[in-house]
Amino acid sequence: MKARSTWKVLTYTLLVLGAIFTVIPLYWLFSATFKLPSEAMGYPPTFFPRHPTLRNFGTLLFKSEFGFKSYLNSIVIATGATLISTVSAMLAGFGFSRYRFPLRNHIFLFILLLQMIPLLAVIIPLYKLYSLYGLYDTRIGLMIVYAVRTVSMNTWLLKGYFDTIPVEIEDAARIDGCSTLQVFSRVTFPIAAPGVAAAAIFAFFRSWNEFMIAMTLTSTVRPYTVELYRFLGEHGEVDWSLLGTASFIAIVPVLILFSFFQKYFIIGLAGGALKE
Amino acid sequence: MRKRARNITTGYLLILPTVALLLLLLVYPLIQAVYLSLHEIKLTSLNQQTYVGLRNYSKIFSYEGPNFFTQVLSATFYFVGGSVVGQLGLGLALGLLVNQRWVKGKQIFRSIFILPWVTSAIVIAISWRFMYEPRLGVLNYVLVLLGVTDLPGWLNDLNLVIPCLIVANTWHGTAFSFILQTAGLQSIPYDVYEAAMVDGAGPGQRFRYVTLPLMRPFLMINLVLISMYTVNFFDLIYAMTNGGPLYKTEVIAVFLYHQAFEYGHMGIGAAIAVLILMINLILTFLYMRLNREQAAERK
Repeated sequence: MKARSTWKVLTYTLLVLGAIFTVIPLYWLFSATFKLPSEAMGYPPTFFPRHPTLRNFGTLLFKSEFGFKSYLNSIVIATGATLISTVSAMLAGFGFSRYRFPLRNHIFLFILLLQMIPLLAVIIPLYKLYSLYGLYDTRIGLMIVYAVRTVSMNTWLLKGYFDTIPVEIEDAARIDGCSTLQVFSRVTFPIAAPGVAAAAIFAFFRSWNEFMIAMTLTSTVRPYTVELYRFLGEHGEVDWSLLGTASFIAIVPVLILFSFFQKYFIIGLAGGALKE
Repeated sequence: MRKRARNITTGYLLILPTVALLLLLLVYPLIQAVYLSLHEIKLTSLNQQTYVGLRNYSKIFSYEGPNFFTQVLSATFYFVGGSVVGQLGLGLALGLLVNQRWVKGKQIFRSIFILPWVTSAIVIAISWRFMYEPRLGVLNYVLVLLGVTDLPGWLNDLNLVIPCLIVANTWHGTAFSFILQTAGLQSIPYDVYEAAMVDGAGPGQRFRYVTLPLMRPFLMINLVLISMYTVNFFDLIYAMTNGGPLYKTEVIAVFLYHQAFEYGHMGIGAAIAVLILMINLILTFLYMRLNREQAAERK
């Protein structure tokens, strides 16, 4: 029994250490958000802000070269990409689940396989295509390519959800006089809603955090990730308190959002890796 | 009969948006990547391309700044190997610890451990650059407090730079392995443990003879997936070291980007993309075999 309580203490100690290791890098950056530049850039470093201040938010907004518009770009692009990915995947998932057509299984497998192709491998042709067809440096251009990054996984996820809904329920509604659209919106969709939520959250996070494609395919309508990178590089001496503030604004709202929807996020993540 | 034809049409119409997106923005560019890898094409004149056969590939293999084999590939394997070991080891350890029945606050620990996975790689790069910063960073500050006088340069140190990146990437990626291993651990029914306990197996034996064999498929799939993810990972290294110092961290993803978008050799970049694709194909093949095995084992 004694060995068991020692093990319990050890478990909690390790877990707390793991949690501290997880939090420290973000804490270190975000603590600079609330320090005066003189403190963030002074020696020795301080672990807790000595004079907590919100002044950096004002400095970032009014006196720095950081483009606040990039947050707006990120919101628009990530929302658009989420809509495109989720709606396409919902239609396709429903199609694969409910309709029988030639080559159905082959096409489905092909879509799953495409998920394994990294966008890095096609970034050069994409750059060429985007430059030649006027999609370079447009929000819609980023939306569609971001949707491509998540649509196959979401199609798979939603097909799985639709598969679990018995066709009999839909037939019953049809006998009661519902049209196909009504059947979908009143019967199928509400049951599949957790799956749709998981798909949407997955699509949103992947789009919100993306950097490489945005870096390559935009110059003026850049999202916050590219703006942060430029802000990091453009100054010889890095201003950590402003950089921390800019990161804070981008990340903290999303982390709060995430804590509410964590369950769906995990459905999407674990489900996507382990398919049968 | 007519109803059946209508069903087929509806089915195709429903999958059309997804298929169109994938064909236009993934399949067609993929074919283009192979095509461009056989041509010389400059970033500044995208319309002009001349066929050069396999010359782009031979240029990559005989490249000297950096050398493809001794610098690019070795940095890639070092970084991928280290990250994969770190992420899988820590992910499994945390999964095992959190998923013990009596642990309280599971939900809180899980939420914390997943944080790095939902944070943008750019913010992670900034955080860790700040951590490693020689004068203002927390690491050297702690070393000073401990009385160390010979302070390391971290990202500027030729021998430390890749380990530094591995630590940052492990910090970022452990969450994924943690979630996957948690799913695996939750798939083992508790009766199996009870049966083992009745037979007199201690904790060590239960881990060795019950948990590990049942977790094997999850571990293997996890291994392949994160290897693939890490080979293709660009953001973190690009923003933390940009391949330097002295090409020490010029992994294949960063190499591609530099060739294509910094030096403007789109053809050479496309050839590197094809090589990356081949690495991915091998790993995908492995992944599919493992998945099939796992599905067979469940039956």
